[in-house]
Amino acid sequence: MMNKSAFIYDSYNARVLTYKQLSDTFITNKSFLELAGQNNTVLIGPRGSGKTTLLKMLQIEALSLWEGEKAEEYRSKIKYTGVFVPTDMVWYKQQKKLLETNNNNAQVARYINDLFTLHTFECLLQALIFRTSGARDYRRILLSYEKERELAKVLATQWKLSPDVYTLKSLFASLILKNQEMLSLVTNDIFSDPVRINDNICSFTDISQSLSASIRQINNMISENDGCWCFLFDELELAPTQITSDLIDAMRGSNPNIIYKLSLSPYNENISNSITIRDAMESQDFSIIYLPDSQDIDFAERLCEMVLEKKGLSLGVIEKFENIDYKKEITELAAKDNSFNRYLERKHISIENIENYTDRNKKPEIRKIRWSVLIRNYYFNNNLSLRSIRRPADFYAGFLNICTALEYNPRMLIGTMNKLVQQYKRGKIDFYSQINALQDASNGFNAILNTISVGSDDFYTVQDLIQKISTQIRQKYILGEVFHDEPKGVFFFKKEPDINIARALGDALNTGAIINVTDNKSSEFNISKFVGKKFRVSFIFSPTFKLPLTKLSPIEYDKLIDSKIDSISELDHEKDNNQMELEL
Amino acid sequence: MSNILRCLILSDLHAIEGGKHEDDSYLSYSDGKCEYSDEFLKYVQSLNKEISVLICPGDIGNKADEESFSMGLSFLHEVKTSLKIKNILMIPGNHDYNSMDEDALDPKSYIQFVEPSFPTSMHDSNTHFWAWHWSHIKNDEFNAIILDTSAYHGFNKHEFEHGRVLHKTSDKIIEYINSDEYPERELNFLICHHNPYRIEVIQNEVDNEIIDGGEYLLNNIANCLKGTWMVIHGHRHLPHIAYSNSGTSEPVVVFSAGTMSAKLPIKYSDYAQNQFYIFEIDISKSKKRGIPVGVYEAYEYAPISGWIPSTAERFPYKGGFGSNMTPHELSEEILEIIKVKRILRNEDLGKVLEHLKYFMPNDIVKLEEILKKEKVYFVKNGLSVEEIVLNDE
Amino acid sequence: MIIEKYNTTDDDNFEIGIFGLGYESRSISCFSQVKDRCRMKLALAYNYWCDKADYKINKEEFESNDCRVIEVDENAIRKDLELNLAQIIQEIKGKVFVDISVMTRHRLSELLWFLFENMISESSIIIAYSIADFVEPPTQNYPVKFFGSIIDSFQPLTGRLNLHPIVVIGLGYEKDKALGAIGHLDPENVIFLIPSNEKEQNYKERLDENNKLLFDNYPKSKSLTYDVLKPYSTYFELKSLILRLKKEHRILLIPLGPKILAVISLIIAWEFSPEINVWRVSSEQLEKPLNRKSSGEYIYIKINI
Repeated sequence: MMNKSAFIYDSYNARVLTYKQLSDTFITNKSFLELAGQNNTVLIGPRGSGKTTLLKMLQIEALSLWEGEKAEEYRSKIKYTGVFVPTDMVWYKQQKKLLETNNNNAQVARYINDLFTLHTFECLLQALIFRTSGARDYRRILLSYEKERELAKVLATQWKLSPDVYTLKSLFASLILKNQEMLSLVTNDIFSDPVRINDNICSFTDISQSLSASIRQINNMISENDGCWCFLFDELELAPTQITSDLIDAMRGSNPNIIYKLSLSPYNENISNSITIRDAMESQDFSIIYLPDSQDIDFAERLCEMVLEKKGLSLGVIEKFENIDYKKEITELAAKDNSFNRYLERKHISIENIENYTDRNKKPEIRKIRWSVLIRNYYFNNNLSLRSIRRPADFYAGFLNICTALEYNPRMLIGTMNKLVQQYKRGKIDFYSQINALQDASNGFNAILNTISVGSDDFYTVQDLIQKISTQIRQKYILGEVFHDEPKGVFFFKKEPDINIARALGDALNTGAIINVTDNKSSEFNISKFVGKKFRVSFIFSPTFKLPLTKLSPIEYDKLIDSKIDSISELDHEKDNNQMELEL
Repeated sequence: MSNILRCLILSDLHAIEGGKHEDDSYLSYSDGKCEYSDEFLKYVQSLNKEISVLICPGDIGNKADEESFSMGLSFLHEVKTSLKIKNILMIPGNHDYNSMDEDALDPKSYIQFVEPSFPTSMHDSNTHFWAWHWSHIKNDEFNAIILDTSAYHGFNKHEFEHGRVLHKTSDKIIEYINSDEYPERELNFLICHHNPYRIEVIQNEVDNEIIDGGEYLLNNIANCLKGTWMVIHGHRHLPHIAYSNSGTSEPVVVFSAGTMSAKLPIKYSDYAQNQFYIFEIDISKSKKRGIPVGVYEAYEYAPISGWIPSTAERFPYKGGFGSNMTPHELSEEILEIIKVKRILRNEDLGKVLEHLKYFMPNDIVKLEEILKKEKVYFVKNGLSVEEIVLNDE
Repeated sequence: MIIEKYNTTDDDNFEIGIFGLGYESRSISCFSQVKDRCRMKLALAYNYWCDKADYKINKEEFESNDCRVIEVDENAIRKDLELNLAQIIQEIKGKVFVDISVMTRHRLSELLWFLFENMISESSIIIAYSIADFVEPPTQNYPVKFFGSIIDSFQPLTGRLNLHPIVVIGLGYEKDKALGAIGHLDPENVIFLIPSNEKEQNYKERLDENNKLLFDNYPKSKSLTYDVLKPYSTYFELKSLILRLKKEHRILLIPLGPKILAVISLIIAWEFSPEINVWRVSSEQLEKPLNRKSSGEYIYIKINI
């Protein structure tokens, strides 16, 4: 007999949590406050950054069930009905393959768009049915049967459905049936017959227009002419390209009855940026939120505390790495690393006076080199040969470092905390456990990156790419022959990389393996091109690759990757720094 | 005495012991332990129902294996004890007879001598059963005739392909029922392993495994005046409920139970998975109607989620039998109401669903079709009806 | 289609035997047992690694026993099958013996799907698999070159978007391979299928070790253990599971681990077509070739068309 583990499924992947579970475990933060506003929003972040959780909490079912401290406050402030519209990677890959198999045939594309539009209608109808017959009073509608019938008729016409009767639930059943009928078309080899496919696809116009028309009718029938509906499109980069474009374009518009909140991954090669950050800044109806927010340490603490509290623990049990004898580290390094000595001389830093320096003189400089000093001192022997230590150093541990390494990614924070609570013993979660947890997080990440094929001669997978970049940074600027006070590691492009590398970088961005560190001068909110932007490898790889947990200086990507340049001389380094300032 | 008689029906266990034919059943024992059995008991206990009678219409063991039969029998007794069930009705099935072994002296010897005694705890009843292939179990709440339709298995090479009850045996049974020795009760069970008439609901499948002589018995039982009758059988691993074709408007209710634990012949796995059933028979309504009236709940097993209320379309979680209305009659009532209200939901719907409670699955389907012709439609969410609506366009 | 348990007997004859010609010595294990009982014999050969291990010996064995050897391009399997096999298969009324032991998952899937589509009713397929002796898993994680549908020609859109997706993934002993696949897809629900073989404890130990991160990252995911030596039981229970799941989910099957699971997954995908998709995760020729020897244990399953 098949043995089984009779677990009840549990996950901190927000999409699967029931509304109640979601609202019971939800923690508000600055991003949620901003997202909840009565305006269009684009939410950008890699996987696990909290986009889905935030969007789902705005849907009417979740808001109505929420019993948290601020629930009532939010319910009274939010003047729209949230409609959550999910998509997923499996569906994305299947529809992409369908298009490829049919040579990107326009009819096939329309067919897929129709499926997605029907799906959106389904989500809208679910929210509407909830308002008419949901359990609670929040945004409850009383709809007479006459009005309901009229509404169902109008929507049926708009949505090209033929239900047996006109009620909202019948319409819902009809939508499901239509969806199933359309799905069955794929296996009937229908795409080889243009006439048949034309007869069977709905060919809805622009999704935003379809939604506008529907909302108009709904508001009319429920006598809420000012009624506002908020469509929460999650992972929109996985939706059909045309749909995504139409929705982004719709953000320009100012339909008082519809708000869009779209979540996107950072990189989307197919999304044309007809809308820019300047538009956002000029328009008061549109905001952009980048996740995760690495400034929101308060949120990270509350999130982690929630996990620890389940086991009766608090953040205090996470052993802190403090009181490093920095002077000792500098002294030791100076004793073995002549290039470091030369740096100290160049900067007129005296080891004896280290503790006396202030922010007005050398202290900022000494702070700046901290990570390089620690790493070089830890990994170099006296003769500057590398120590063969596989396990990362303890100075990567500590709650703040963990948050930094995990990029304040909520999903990873929760996952890591869940692991750490198992390691609690003798009153603390020690460094060993913390470092192991970080290693596990990094290894898990690598496993994912190893499945993303690049199709380039230089790299098989995204993991290879990350490994190359990280190794080059380490070998040239961190553990190279020469000490660098401003090691390079943030990379940029002077020309667009080839398509395979671009896609690999895109995948890396979307998984969070690399981070966009372009400052706000950039005009696009989502990346489809790489020139003019700056990136770094995620800090999650820092312990493994012996890299600092701080942002490094910029360097052109081709120079960084060039294996012929294994190490940088001091002169080269000086030249580089001057050149960087000019180029940027 | 309670007005409701509640029965737990577990059929076609095909219990296995010691790894023999391990692919044949979930009820697989090793060193006396079986996870499936533990899980089942836990689940049934959680339903918190007071059950009066446990019924197992055969195939307790698997492929005539003695140890497996013993384990299956122990399981049944364990269920009876754990759930504090007063009565147990069991019979052997074709798998409990050693009918394929040409060297076997007597195909039934090991089940005849098994401990605890089988099929009843009473020596006289058992004696009668083995001698005449049937026996009578009586108590204050019901009568039961337990019938061995596998009795002739092993005596010729084709007998194992179907069940049998001789007309002479049926005559004896009827004579006994009509005698003073057989008290009148509102409810009478006939428990047998094979189906008394053909069940042909799967396309291209012909049912040749019926009880030879079964319809004769059924027709005669329907005409007895000792109360209402319900036949419960197994064998086909195919859940099905119907009224007998007995030439009377007070027919017998015939329930074919699905298998509780056998790994189905795969041709049926689209139809229903492993199930058990709880029947609730309303004694006073049955008396009034002249046929058993009641409801049932079906539960199914699936890996991972374990036991849950049945989601099988063809035999879902809830159903009934013995309605005093036909689909046409109920449709008239619904049409009258709906011409005024135009839509039935919530409380209005609840009243209609109350009538549907005792409808058999096919009757519900028929009702839906009758109403559709009058442009009245069921609006469903999965298998449950949420609205009944008139389309008066 | 009806699936049955099957045990080979000496008087069981086959209309055609289809074998895999590879470099592993297992390539001819089943062949040696049934070669005299197959009216026609066909070996599907590879066009790479033909110089490795026992490839030449195996080829010689096939050819000297009247077995036709056909080179099949891994990128055009379906086309090669149609060219060489279509007519023969459509005329077969009896049993077809298929030895999947050294076939890639891609190859065996394309072959089986082709047979399902072309064989007539009253015919049947006997799938045979020679279980290998344990070898240690690779120490490195090979990069993944392909992650997608196991059948090139069958890639439907499976189910409404509003249904929650669920990935049912068989685990193997390659380090973090399943973790990578699951992480990449990021599904809402995951179920693990864990192989067990009471005669091979080493495999289970390596599997547990090499999937530790997976179990850590998905601590409360549901899992089922299936017996590699009991394909009928595995089929039955997996099908029951799928029947239950498909009422509420869009299902994706990824049968990593023992190949027999790929066969069972494919059968179920056919039976529920087009609702279930089956995917593979492959490093293709980036993996180092490994000559797995036959343990002497064979498993069979019969498919009645």
